[in-house]
Amino acid sequence: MPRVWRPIAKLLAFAIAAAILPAAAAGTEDQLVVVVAPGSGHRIEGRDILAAIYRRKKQYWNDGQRIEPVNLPPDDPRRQRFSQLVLGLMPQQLDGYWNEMYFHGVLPPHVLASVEAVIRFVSTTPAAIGYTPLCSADTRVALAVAIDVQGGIIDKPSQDGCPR
Amino acid sequence: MVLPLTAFAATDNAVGQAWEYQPGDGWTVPHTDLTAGGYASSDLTKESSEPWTLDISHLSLFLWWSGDSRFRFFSETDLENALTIQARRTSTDGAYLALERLYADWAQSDALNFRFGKFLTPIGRWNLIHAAPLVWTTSRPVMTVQAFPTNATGAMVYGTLTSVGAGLDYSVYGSIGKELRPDPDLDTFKEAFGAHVSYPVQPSLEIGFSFASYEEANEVGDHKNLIGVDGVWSQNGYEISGEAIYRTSSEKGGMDERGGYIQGVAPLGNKFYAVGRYEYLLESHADAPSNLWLAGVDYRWNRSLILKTEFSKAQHNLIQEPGGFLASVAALF
Repeated sequence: MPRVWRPIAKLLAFAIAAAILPAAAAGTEDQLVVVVAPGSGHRIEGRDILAAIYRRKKQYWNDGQRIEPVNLPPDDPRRQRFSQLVLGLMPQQLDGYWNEMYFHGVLPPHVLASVEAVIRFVSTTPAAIGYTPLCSADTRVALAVAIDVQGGIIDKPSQDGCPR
Repeated sequence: MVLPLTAFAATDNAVGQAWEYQPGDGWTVPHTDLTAGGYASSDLTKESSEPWTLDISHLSLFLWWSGDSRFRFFSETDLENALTIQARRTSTDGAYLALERLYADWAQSDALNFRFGKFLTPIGRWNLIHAAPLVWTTSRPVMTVQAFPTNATGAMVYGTLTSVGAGLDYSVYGSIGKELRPDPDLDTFKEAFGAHVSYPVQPSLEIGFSFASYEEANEVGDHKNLIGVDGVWSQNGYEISGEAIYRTSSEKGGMDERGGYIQGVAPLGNKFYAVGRYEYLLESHADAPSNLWLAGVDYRWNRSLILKTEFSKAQHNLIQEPGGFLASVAALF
């Protein structure tokens, strides 16, 4: 490459990186992560299993403990995204389903008011499961799987793209 | 399950949320695993050539206990027709305390649960969700109450096979009669066995299949076999549901009854919904099928409260189904 082009190439590369990297980071920040109690060893084997847990069709972990799923409030955008991506329906579209389950004595997952509440509850409850934005989870909880913006399941969530 | 959650909420009200009572979610007795809930409904009826009738049709109480163990207990008692008011008469003569369900469950796993006691017969869809606040019409499709006993006392194995796609629900049951507190207005099983499976093909579409082989207490010696299919699709407030059954009888030497219904619901805006249903029923002794038409408008105020109005008409009405105007209010609590 002629020397005259090198600064231009560097400038272009910098401009492209500046355009792409924040987008990548934003993608990571937009991801949701499913969290379980640290040391519990509880695993999520695919989106169908996660959906079954949040529909209360699957109520037991493989070690026999009764699963305690928790939700964010129905109007929380992260709850709405989780519901749409994992269950395929918005929270209010599940009202009829939960009425039917209630008729059979099954209640929906408990609702906690905030992401911090989810983290604190999951961190102290061995059979609990919750979800938070990927970059909001910390060492108090174990990351089970991440859910990308298309609803795909990422088995080994990484917080590398999260702001420090 | 309740204790750690309650304790958590109590220790940090800034981030937690106590489990406050919400209609339609039941009430968990503090510091126990016992939950109480139920529903109530009241009907206003104007059947052809009959006077107006206002009825407190159901006061139903659920009680269930579900702790950390694998044992679970559930009961539903229903005070039916507690009060009937007509133009010049108020009466409690029709009041009846029904035992709808009373059973104990043992959960071996999600896929393998055992149930003993009195439960709803798992045939089709309506019978399993028949509570007034859960359904769109005051009247019930005839085939869901006439073609088979709605309750069974016996044993059931049921579960969800989460390894099968989005989860296959199944139930297999048997009864040797001896119904717990049988309702005098309903026939009961003398003996029965059957199965029901349902599968969510999509988040908004579920289909099910039923099979039952039984004798009824009032028709001893007449062995019946029933197969059925049911389904529901719902999206953006629209819903289409339906069931169909085909029943054979040993006494009649073949088809004894067949029928089905299809029901549609469409949102009209401002929480109003239009409801329509067509039901077809053909009995072996009839020379033509009965056709039942229904149209109505509902107001679903919220998840737990619904007001319904409907007008129904029967053509070739051999099943004595009264047509007319019905309205009701129903609430989960």
